Amino acid sequence: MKRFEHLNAGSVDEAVKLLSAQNARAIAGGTDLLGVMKDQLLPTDRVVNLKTIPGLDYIKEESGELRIGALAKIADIAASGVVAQKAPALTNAALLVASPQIRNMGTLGGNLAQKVRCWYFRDVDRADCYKRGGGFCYAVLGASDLHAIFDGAACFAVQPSDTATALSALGASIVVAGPGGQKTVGVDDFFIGPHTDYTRETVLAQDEIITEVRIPASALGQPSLFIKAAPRKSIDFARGSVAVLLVGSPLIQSARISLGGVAPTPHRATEAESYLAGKRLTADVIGQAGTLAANGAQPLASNDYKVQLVQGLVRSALTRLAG
Amino acid sequence: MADSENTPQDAPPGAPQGDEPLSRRRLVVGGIAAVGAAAVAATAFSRAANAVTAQEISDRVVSADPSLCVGCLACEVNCSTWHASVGRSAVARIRILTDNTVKLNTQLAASLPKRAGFTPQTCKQCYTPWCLPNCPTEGLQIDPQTGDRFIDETQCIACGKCEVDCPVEFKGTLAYKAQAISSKRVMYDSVKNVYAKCDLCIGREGGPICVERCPVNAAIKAGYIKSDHLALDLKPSTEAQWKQLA
Amino acid sequence: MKFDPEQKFSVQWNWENYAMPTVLETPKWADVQPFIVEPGDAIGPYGAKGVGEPPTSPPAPAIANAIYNAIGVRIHDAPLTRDKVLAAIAQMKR
Repeated sequence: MKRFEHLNAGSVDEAVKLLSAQNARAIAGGTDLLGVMKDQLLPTDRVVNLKTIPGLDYIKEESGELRIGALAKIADIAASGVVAQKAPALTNAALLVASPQIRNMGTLGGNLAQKVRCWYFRDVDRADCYKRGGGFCYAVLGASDLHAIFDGAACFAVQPSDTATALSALGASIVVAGPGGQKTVGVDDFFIGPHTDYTRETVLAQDEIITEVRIPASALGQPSLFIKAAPRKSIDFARGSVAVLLVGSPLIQSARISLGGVAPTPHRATEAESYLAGKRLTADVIGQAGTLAANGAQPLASNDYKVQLVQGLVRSALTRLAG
Repeated sequence: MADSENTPQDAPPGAPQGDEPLSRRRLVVGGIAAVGAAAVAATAFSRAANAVTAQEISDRVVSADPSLCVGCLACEVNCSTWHASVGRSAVARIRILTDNTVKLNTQLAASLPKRAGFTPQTCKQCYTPWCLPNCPTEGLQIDPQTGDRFIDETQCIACGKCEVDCPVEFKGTLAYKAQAISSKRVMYDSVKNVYAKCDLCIGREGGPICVERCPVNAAIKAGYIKSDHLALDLKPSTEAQWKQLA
Repeated sequence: MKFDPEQKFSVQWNWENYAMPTVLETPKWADVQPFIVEPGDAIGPYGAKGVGEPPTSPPAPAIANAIYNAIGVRIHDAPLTRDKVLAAIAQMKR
């Protein structure tokens, strides 16, 4: 690993100031950053430690919302009773992130801000792709098993975060701190696609950090669920995942369905959502919702299986919520 | 000034009216020069010089073979990114539309069977540059070396006359997010308040970035895909070529 | 092992992408029925045989046979992943 300086930030403001240096990156649990650095994916001259910022690891109810500090560990979110009760999709997701060791170190902020897992992006020696300053995407005509079936544009890497998918269905917002102060961004706007900027996955500038995630009152206590399809029972990133939030039972008033691992951002299955409004979860309705969720999919050479996977995941999630 | 009876808008795209608007322009310019307003004449004459040499076709226009397009949008994204990086409008000047009538090339269809048909569209670098005559500033220009019809965005005052006069549209559904599009091939950018069109990446070493970055082009050049022509290529914009472009 | 189809380099060059089954993928002990066959081969001490390496060979063909038994299609390309089974089912339906 190349030399880098490691600085402890005592506060959010200090972290923001320290992050404005060249090739500075924030570290919390380091479960993604250290891999990025060791594989030399992105130049890193300065690492700014956020773990020394006190008071950002809370999970609390405030102003009717469920608010989680960016430094809350995934393991703590997974074990939290209030999250399990009020926003079960997030509990499901947290439990399925990586492995126990990673959940013990990894934070919510880090999970949301992580870089993509595309095997070309992560292969510095043999692939010179868009996300690392090159001018090519190997997945378009190459090995595309992991890649996007929705909204790929120049780059086809998928959004890998399970918590992001769950939070998208929950309609959450993310509080970002930067040199200009603080701003709150909805999850679906926090993630940007390659059509907007393929060098970043999120709106975060180099000197901005996530400080908090807020789940709105409209989602709390409503039935929600997250399920994930991955090669193995642990450690793997989702090949496809779905988070569902239903309001109204047994007659659905509204639904939010977000798909993970199949697009560069959490992908809302809006046709399926509209279809479900005003319906009951019968077998036929569930079947049709699954079909609609995959509408508009544009598979590449080796990710066609994701189309059926999405349909199956949505049907499976709705069946569990119905029963 | 009776410039309105036979404006380029009336000319149907497939049946150009020759260079009537330019002939009229030459008459107008000649008239002003005759009055003797030297400075005005100098400016008008340089516009006329452009207008006269507008007879020259552009030696290049971006030309696509839809049967080789996999809709990856690398062209759109690179177009937008490069133009923004040199301070121009970030509007993508090449757009990919979905097109179910297009059958993908056999080799591509074998590996990408579920990928719908696509048609790339850009400014057609019209052999008669309809957009140019009514531009009130030095915005719309023709490069004297290449015939490239381009907009100098620093001069553009966003009056929209070029858009009105452009005879070609993007019409249909974009591959990106299945958005409907109905606009001319010269488009307004509300962020920079200018009009933008394919300018063949004028000023870029290596020429148009879309042609350079198309992954199907790369595969054809490397021999992985067998084809005697590229997916996205540059051709001279003759009248015959113009008719063939999407 | 997966390769980039054009330039032929491996895309599974680490433990993340080359997903070896872990202990969580093994059947539960209760579902595994051991059958000990004792042929009385006199080569090893007291007729003992090594069981470290040989068991690595049979599982793949056994699973391939099980898939054939279940869906009537033979898959000849390891690993026998779910997307291959899905593709095989689609093939079979034609």
